[in-house]
Amino acid sequence: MLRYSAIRILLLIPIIICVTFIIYWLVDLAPGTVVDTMINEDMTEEDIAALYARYDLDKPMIVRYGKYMWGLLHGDLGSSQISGLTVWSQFSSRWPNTLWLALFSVILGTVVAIPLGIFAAKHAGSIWDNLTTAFTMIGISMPSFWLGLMLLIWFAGKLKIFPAAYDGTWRAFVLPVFANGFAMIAGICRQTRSAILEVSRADFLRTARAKGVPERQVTYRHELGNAWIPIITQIGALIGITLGGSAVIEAVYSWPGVGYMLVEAIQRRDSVLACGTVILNCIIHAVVLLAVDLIYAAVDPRIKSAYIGKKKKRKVTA
Amino acid sequence: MSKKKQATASRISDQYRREPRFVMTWKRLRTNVGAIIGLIILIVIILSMLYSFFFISYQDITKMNGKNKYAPPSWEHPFGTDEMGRDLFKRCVYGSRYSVAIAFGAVGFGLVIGVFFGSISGYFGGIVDMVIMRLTDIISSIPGTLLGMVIVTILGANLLNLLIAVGVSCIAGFIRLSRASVLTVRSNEYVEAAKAIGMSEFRIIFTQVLPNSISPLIVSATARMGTSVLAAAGLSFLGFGVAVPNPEWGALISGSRNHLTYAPHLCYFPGLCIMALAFACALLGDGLRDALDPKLNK
Repeated sequence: MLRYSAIRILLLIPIIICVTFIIYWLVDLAPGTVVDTMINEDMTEEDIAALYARYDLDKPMIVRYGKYMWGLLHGDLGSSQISGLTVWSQFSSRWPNTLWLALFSVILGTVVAIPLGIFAAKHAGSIWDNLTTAFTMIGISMPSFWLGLMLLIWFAGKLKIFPAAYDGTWRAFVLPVFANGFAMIAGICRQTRSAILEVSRADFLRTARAKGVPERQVTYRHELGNAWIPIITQIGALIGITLGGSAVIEAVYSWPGVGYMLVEAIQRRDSVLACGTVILNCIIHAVVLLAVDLIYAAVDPRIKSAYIGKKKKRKVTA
Repeated sequence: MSKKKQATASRISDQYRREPRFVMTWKRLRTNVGAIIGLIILIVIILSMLYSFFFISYQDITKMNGKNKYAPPSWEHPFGTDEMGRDLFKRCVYGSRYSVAIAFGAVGFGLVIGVFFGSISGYFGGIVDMVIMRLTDIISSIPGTLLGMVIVTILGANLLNLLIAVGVSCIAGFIRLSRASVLTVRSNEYVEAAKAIGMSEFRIIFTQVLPNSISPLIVSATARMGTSVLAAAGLSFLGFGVAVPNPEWGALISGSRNHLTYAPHLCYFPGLCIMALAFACALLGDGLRDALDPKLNK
């Protein structure tokens, strides 16, 4: 399994090279450059040319990319072309905010959704199931930024219970976590319901019931135990996405996270900051996906044995 | 007993052979309340879009009325008026064209490209498969919102580019899905038979393999329409979408942010419109999945 993890991490390298190239190239293709906002009317032609030269904008894009990658090879993510701060310092000062927001929303989503999904599956076809389905349908089709604004209007504007913007206290977390977590509740609940329904006809459940295992234990150990894989996949995907920062939620709540930082970097053509953020996001995302794969093996002995037996299997080519 | 069973089986299969799949699917879809609700909402939105083409001009939605700013909803203005006294209801109805175009256009764009590469990848296998799948991995490791923002920045903020931006982020999903369904179909006897009678490979893909692996694609595409509407609205909300004077729903919500305290209706209604469209697509997608799922053919 260690070998598998190492291969997965190494496979990241070509992906990061390609992704950074694509992002660097695309940001470069965009009309306008990073120096546009720095040029004012007092500047002479030489000043402007010097400014261009300072950012290597007089050279082809591939040269700049090469320089950037050379720095990256030495562990240097570069400095933002606008603020001058290093990408790492900007990212690491803002990432905890994104991390906590993402974790709390996923925890909220999981804690509410799994019991709700089991409940719906247990009562499949009944009015409760239909109500839950309707609720999850609304949840997945509600734009999170709109929900965020609605919560702002009511709980920050009219009732004044929670602050409207980030102020460092726990109260500031409540609204964004809910706005972010609501769609997750819906998504995980749907997945849980269908996964439970999928295993609900299995023979081992009948066996368990026949030998007198209490229904509660049948549900939580036998049924949920065999339904974990799709649920974990869903939760892992959600964690991977939200750790990259939810730009819209951060925009609504003026949240000092990395999602909106990336939006601003693209708007200002700060390709170094944009690329650096994307690289770090890619790494985080890949680590989460790897963790999900390893958790599969932990919850499902069948998958664990597949890892061990992998060497013996040979693909038969047609 | 077994003879009788056989006779029934052959009669049923005869009957089903004559009945086109479309009719069968529709019959099953008809019994699904959720899918019908979704279909009705979708039809209402499309009809109101068609209405706006003929009866709401661009002048109507940009006509300012300084005396009637921030009016709350009333009979005259069902959704109220905005900061320039423009009628929000007309703007929302006019704006339906952007979201409907995104729902169908972006998904159609992603579907055509995704299915093309996915079926090639699944059918031929080998090195072609490997190259296409590695490229797919790379595309899908760039977050959709980011890719969308960058594409809109490069191409410029208008409807077509927003459509492409949202469409590109569905491609990877469709490649994977069509590859997987082609892989399951590829080894069937009828594909072998088609090979044996000397059909060309592209003809086999498009006449034999794809029609038999299309169900999951239809389901996923319908569900994807809803998420595309949400993604496009999010991009517009961040300022990477349809440019400001045009009443795209996400952009309307973005514009309402400065007036939340005294005119919250500017935020309520465009959001409800987005939700209605996404909700309709989600319901329809769910209904189609149930109707097309062979496991449910009891």
